Amino acid sequence: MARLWSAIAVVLTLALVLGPSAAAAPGMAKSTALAAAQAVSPPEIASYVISATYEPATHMLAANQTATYRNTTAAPIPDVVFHLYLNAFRSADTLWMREAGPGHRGYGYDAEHPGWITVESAQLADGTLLTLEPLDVDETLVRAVLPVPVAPGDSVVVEMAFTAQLPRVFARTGWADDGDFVMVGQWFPKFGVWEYGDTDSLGEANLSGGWNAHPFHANSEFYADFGTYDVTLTLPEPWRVGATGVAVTQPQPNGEGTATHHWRAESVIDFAWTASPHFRSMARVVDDVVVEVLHYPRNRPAARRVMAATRRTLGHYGAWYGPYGHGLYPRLTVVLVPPGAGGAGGMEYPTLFTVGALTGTGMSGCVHLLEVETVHELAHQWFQSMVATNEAEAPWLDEGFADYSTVRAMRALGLDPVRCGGWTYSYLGLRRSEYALAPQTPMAGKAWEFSGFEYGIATYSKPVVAFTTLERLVGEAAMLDFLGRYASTYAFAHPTAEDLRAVMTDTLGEEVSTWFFEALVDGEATMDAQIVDLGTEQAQVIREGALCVPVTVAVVRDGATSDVTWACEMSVQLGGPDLSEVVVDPERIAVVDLNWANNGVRLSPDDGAWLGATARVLRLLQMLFRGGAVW
Amino acid sequence: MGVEAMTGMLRRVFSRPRPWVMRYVLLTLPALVLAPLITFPFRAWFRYPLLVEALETQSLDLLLELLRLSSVEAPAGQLLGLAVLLILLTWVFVRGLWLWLEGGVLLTYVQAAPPSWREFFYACTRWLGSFLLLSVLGWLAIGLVGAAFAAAAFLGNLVWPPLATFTLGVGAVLVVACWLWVDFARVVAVVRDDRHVFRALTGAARVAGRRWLPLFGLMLGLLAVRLVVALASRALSSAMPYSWWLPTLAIQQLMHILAVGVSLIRRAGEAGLALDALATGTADG
Repeated sequence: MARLWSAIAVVLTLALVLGPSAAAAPGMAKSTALAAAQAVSPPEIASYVISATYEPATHMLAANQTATYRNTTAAPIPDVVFHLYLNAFRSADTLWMREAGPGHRGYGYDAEHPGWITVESAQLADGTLLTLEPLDVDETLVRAVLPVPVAPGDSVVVEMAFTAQLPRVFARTGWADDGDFVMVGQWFPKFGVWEYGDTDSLGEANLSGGWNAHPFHANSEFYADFGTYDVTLTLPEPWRVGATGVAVTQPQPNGEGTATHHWRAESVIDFAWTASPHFRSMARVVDDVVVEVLHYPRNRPAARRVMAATRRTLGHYGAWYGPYGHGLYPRLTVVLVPPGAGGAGGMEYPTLFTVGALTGTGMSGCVHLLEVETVHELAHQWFQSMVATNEAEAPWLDEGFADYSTVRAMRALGLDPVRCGGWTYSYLGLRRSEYALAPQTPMAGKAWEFSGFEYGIATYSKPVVAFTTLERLVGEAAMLDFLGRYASTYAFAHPTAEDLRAVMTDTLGEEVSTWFFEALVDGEATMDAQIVDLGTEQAQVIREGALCVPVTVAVVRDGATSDVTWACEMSVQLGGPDLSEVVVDPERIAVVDLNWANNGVRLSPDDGAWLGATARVLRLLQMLFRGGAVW
Repeated sequence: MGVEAMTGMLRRVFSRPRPWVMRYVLLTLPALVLAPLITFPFRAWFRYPLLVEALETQSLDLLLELLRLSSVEAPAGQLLGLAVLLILLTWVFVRGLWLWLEGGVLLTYVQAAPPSWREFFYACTRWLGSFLLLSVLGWLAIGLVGAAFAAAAFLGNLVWPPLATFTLGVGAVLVVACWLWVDFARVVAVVRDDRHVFRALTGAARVAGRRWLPLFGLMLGLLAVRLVVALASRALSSAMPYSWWLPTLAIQQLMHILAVGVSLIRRAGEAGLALDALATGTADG
């Protein structure tokens, strides 16, 4: 699950406490594609200057913005298209609400506290008034025809005044804690993405030019161009603010109990902010990046866990995918949402993400879902905030890489979502269990084409098992080369699935990329290797499903083990004599295999192990009967 | 301060092994019957090497793989329900016998000469009523203290989560203290040969107050020994492959015998302290 928000700190210099660099962790594998530092020059396409005043009592924002869109294509742009995302929450009857339930990840919509946005005026810099025409019935998307098309290389500047009503938070954005906490995302009129001449996410050439923008769907996240945001926010004076980018100045008191906060972010695709009078800050410097966790005082223990996971993982991601922000982002803000604001948690924004959606903040001990959430959202700083794929049309690209990164990071950190009494449940195991519920779901597809359940499989679970299978097939070094090449090539760009495929072909070979995309990304093929018949003289091993992953088969005859290579035949006969055990894929290369339990079977039960289990049950019973007489 | 009396009493644990043997047998025989009954319905699952790997690596991932396998037939729910019922009934039976034996066990250490079998079983029956009443009072106290601190922790969590942790910690200490107090009261009752439970409780409090240092030392020392035994037992169990069932069984039972011995050493030590306190008049009520 993926999303993010923003934030950044206010008074920080004296509060910073230097921490050890996570990048210095020993044994950290590094992508060879990243061996040489690569300079990047992010495009400057969609930029905004926003001045907003927030009224906590009514949860309303009154704002003016100057939005600039630069035409970097070869086709003139005849109109401008803006997203008005908040209108998805204006009633329970909108498209978003009908698709969603209405609710989001278990957090319900409060019809008495809806959200909406109204554009009071829109005009060009020369004063020419623009008429906004709704492109969907809910007005989550509007268009204005320009009097003169924007020529290639030119820019259009649109000045707008708007009012936004924030909802009680249930889906990323809104207020909570009786108005004392606000997480503000998708809150301003935001340009779509003008595309021309590229190959779109479906592999088709776009020769006419057009805005890539869709009405706001429940499954859909976002897609935007890079640019600069210069934002001033006026709030009650004691409130602490975090946001995308960096604070330009200290908060400036205005008298009458308010203060103005000035923030600026360059080379980013979005701007989000959070504020509360109760926020406390925990800050560290990691590899020249200021990491700040904003949290309520009572959540300090959880904030320490979030900070630790972030610090340790930053180095790993940097080694695998390139440095955070390629050195362009000096800060990273993490918002630990307070109790009652879980709907705002688990979301990614440029230079900011939120956590606290999965578990609240109180769970600790042997459950590490807060760490899972943290490393997942942190991965989005690469796969979405920098490698800015289209989350609406190809959600698997960012969520898939973020969730696969989560598996890698949890492994690197030596953590599991659950580790209790010596028993562990890994994140890969969790995703494998989900994947097995609907493995035929293709990964490719537009967000709104999936049901909520299919969306989870296609964008999270299946990419995790697919990428992990790929990793085990090609090896760690080759996988890191592929990942590093993709992340560095498309930093601050909008790669499509075809772009990814091209990198995979270059790094791992045509055969691998064809197999991966045809079978797993676009295809419905599945695989369940299993032993259907085992006797002392022969065994039959079959493969259910059309997905081919070459594996080995370990055969035990008369106490000696030999390996047999099994390519992609649907069935294999293994001869005796004295067969006693057969195990398919003993190394578990094929993570896409629907079930590993039926991969191995013995002719007769392992009575030694059964007695060993009985001995352990005996001990448990003795302990139980001994009761309180423990010493 | 009673240390000599206490250590002298400890020797009786080894020179009078009857309680040790009886307690071990009491705990082991029912478990020996129940354990194979519980695991036998799962014997067919041991055809899958993955199950053994799951158990040895303590991997819920792999265990769930097996549970997701449609061809693996889980023992019927009724069978599992029966197993749970059997365990519960056996637990009640064993705990009842344990309490019944307590009078004889304590008499074995308190009496100057080892009791005969007849004296042992007479003491078991004679003290059962008082000990049951003490148990009821103990559980009541534990329930009240536990509930009060749980409620306080809940409220504390709303204010500041670390406060809840602190409150629960204090509550846990008080619950353990209640349990130890009641347990020690049984020793004092037998030492004073007085079945009145309230006099036993007040006497226990007085002895604990006067002999707090050796009592505290005894508790902490034995707790440390018990922890070492538990950790060693766990480490050895984890390190043993499941197929090494015989060495596993031998080591586990050795550890179990040690654990039972540690609990008896505590009782003997407490009895020595109480006897010494009674002899010097501090336990008089």
